[in-house]
Amino acid sequence: MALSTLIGTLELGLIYAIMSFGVYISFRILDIPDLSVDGTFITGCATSAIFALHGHPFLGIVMAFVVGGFAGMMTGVLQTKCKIQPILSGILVMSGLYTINYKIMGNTPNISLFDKSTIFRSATDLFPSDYTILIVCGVLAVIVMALLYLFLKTQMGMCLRATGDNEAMVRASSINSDAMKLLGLALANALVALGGGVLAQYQSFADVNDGLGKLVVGLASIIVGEAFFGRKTLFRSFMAVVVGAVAYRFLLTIALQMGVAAIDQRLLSTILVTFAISFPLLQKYRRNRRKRRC
Amino acid sequence: MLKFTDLHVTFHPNTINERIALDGVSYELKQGDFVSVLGTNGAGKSTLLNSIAGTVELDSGNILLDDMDITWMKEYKRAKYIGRLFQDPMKGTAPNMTILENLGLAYSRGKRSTLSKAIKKSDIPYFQKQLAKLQLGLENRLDTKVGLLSGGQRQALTLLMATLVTPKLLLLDEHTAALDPKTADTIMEVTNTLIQEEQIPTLMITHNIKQALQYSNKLLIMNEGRIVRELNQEEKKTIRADALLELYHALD
Repeated sequence: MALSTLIGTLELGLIYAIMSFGVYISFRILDIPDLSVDGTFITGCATSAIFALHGHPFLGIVMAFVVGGFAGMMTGVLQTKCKIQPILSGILVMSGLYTINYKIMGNTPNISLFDKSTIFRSATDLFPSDYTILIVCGVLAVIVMALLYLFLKTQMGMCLRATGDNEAMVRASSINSDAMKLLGLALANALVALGGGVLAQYQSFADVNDGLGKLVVGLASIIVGEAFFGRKTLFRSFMAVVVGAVAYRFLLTIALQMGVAAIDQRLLSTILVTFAISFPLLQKYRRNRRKRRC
Repeated sequence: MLKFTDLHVTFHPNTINERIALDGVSYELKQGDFVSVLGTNGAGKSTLLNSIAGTVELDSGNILLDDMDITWMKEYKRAKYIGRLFQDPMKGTAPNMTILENLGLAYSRGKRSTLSKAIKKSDIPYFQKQLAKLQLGLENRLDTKVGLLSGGQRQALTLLMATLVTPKLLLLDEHTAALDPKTADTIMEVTNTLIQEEQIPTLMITHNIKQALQYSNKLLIMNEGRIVRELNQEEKKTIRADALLELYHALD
């Protein structure tokens, strides 16, 4: 693998780590299968791209986070106030966002930021080096990780974790579990959209159809990472998300270099996630079969 | 302390499954009262507790807690004043969080959840002192995840969490029924100690007549959504378990 490919893969991995933290909040902390991710990721891309197009790349990143948070809140409202099942709530929001994303991009299906100012171009102008972009990605990922880690150690963060763990107990402890779900889903999708926003400026491109499968990517990253670090403590889980996202990018790059077509990626990801989740069950099944034979 | 008047709850009204769960229940608990509620399955005991806790909405009636009208208050809001224990030991604690984190959560009951640190180092000695009361050695296992504890240990922890910030009312819904007899006795002893220390008004559902006679100072017997018999302290002292059992059977 050439050095430039290596750096590029690492950069992408760190950007996807930001998104994976969002998926981690809904799937692991809140224990809610939130499918709106595929929509909010593009909401982030679109918001960030349209701001960059009009000359405000930094504001674009911030707004991606904010708008993504609003979209996540919608999923939360559907779940808690309208009592729609979590999976359907996510699908509804994801589906509705398709139109909204299109409108955010100014009624076009894609935006090119070729020769426009982005956060990455500003950084390379200031510090011209082969590693500048990598460092920007790294700094962003570390900031997200550190702030999220600190947040989860606060009272509010602990209520959030408890809501995913035992909702009845949370309500009996005088905590508004609906508000916690709303907060959690908003934060989760804000992070997903932030990842999307950074990616759009990184690749200087946003496309309204790019969202499909991002959730699977996030899940795959988490699962790959947990294979290395487990999830015994919060810190290990966090390491798992970052390392998983990067490792997953490397797996993809290697697969591409081995001649796997880009179109096959999604199927491969699906197989990887399915296999990783059912692996413990398969092991148990094999053990039981051996027992029955003798 | 706690006063509820003419509580009515009907499940599935106007359908073929209509069932009157509470049919005009009134009672008043005084400071230091430990009231046991007895009755057959379906008598309305759990509905009574759930409607006081706010998980079941009343059709009509009135609930006053310390002169505060909580009849229509949301469940999580009144949980500020009410400690609760369920029959299922898994229900009262968060399994993937540590003992310390669970206690921290219980300790912030009634306070607004803020961005300040969840566990203050200065609170840990207090938590350890409280845990030591349970005599289970949990004070040395603060960083153990609660999911790794046994049912009895978890129920003991839940009990401590429910009373860590002294509630105005404690609701116990057969909280020892899922435990083995020896553990059930231990938990009941601890319950009694904690209640007596702070003089917490308590309403306990139980099917264990011995328990009811030994610990509580008053007895309520429910049948078909009504309180059919009230025994005060003196009457309770004179009645024996077999006489009470007869009273029970006479209901059918």
